[in-house]
Amino acid sequence: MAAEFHNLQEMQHSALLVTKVFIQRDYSEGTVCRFQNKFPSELNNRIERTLLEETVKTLNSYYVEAEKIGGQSYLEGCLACATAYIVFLCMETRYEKVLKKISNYIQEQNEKIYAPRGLLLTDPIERGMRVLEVSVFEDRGSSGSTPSSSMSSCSSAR
Amino acid sequence: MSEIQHAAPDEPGRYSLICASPPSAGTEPPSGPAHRGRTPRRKWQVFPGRNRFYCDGRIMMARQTGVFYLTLVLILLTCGLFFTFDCPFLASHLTPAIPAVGAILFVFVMGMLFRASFSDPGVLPRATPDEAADLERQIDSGCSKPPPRTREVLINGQTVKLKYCFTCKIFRPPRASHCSLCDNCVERFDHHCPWVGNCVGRRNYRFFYLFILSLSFLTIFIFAFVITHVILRSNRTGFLSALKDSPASVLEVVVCFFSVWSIVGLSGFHTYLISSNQTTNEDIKGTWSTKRGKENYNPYSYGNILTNCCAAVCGPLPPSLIDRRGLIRADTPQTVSQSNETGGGGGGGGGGGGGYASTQLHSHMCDQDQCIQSTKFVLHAAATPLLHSDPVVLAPLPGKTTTVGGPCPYLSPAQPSLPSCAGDVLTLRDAAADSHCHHHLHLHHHHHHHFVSPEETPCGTPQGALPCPAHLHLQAPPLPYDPVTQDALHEDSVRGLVKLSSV
Repeated sequence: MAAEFHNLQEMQHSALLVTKVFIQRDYSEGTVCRFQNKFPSELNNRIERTLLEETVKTLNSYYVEAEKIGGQSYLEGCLACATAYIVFLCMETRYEKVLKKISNYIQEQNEKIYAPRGLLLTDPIERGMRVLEVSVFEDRGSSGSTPSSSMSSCSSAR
Repeated sequence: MSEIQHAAPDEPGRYSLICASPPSAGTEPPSGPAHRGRTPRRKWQVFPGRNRFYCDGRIMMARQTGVFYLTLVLILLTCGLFFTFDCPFLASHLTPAIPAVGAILFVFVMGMLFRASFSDPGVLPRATPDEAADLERQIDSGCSKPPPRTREVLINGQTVKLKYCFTCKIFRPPRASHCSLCDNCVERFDHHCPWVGNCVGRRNYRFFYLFILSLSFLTIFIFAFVITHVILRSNRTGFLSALKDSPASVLEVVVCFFSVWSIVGLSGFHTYLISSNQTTNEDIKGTWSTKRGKENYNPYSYGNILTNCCAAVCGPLPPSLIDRRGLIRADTPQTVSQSNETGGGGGGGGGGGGGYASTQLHSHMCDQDQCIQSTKFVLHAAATPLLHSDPVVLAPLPGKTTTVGGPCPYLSPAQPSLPSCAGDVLTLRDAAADSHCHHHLHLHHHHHHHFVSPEETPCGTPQGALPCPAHLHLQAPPLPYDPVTQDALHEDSVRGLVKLSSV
């Protein structure tokens, strides 16, 4: 029943967006960027629990690395302060480097794991770090599939 | 209005005749991609908050910048006078290191001021329509009425309440706050500083702090050396003639004297805040004060003054979440205020990309549709009685707003001023527009149309009653009305006009 797509391009061309599932932020450790590891029920029959949890765990660890306060970040901060932050015109901050890594990781995960199952992860930075958005697709061929109960207002109800 | 007669209901293409001239001034076309042939627009141009952008989105400030210019003038004037009148004397009679140190301090102060004023303080972008809908669903799925608009979270053993922001349609992260002057939610919101012309938040707090710290040093430095200059001169030529020889010194002393108290005091206050890892907001409200309870403590503090200071000044600098200079792409989802979105640009490949087959997106906001829409509402208003027992759908927002153009006066001629719904959930306006009647629209996107407003609004809730008389009953097909879905709008308008033409 779940659509099988072989790559992202195929999915984009032949798929219909059914719904979006949002994984919210977990603030139990303060303002550090962290996503809840609660498995959303809408994805129960789309993907194995462990795979999604693994992805979220890895993402969380990347964010921890980006926001870590330690030797390297102090050095970077002091150097920047001493040069009146001009150094950031030439150099990328550590946070930005980690964000690039995250972006590559999500792309890779989408290609290997999520697209074949008809899902698509959106990089949280594109949603203001509020949510991790999982788009659920259905094959256009299997039309007449009723949207799931967690419909958002605007999709195929037209 | 005679143009309407030209519309042939069975030929959708002919509706364009209605709009021979563009709609009335004030409606700026929103996000770009619908306009063929125009250069792609950048996201800052459709940013929903009340900010000003310069240099093609590189510089971001608050709307009121008058006091910032005053700050600039004061600093430049005082330093200019110091370097012109006092430094030559001091350099020759004492040491040239004085103007050198002064220059370094001055450059540092200006650098920090510009950084604090021009950078994004940590604005949280507003929720996309899908997210907002999902949150609404979660909030309303509980049985309690009114629906809870706060969430509680346990952080390091302290219970923290997360509030729902009606403007941005998100649950604010801890320590974030909505700035009413800039109309944005800002992360780790400290305060809105008019002197700097911007909010002070997570991303520019260190610049602000370094600015006031270095400015205190500069003020004290100038104060001290101007006094030294006057004393040295008066040793040689007498006090009064010393003052006559360098009149600028008097002005400098006066400015510095008054500044010292305020700036040094402010630096001291912020040093205390940094060392205890609190924001001005929290300190003023006494959020973590032990007066509230013995067990009340600050869960964000690292426990150690030095760590707190280092984290605040030397910690990692997060990037801006609003992609100001990104280009608006056709597939970029718009936020609920039909504006800015994060990401874009070079963002994640599989991310916001072509995956959106969904219908929610803008891109039909052309003048033609607006015109049709407004015409339809006007005519409908004339045709149907104002008070109706059936549930209402929505009220058009007046005048200058970008999407729904139905003018308020038509709908409630006897009503001089409409009640303002404090709940303000959805305001369709672009960055520059201000609605006359602060008529806000709450969108309840479930299948039926009824006006649900948050508890604070005077507009009330009950289905069937018409609290705000300007609401229209639309005999529209039972579509979930999402003003962002312009396709539905177009369909409605087509049907509306068909109906009218048959009268």
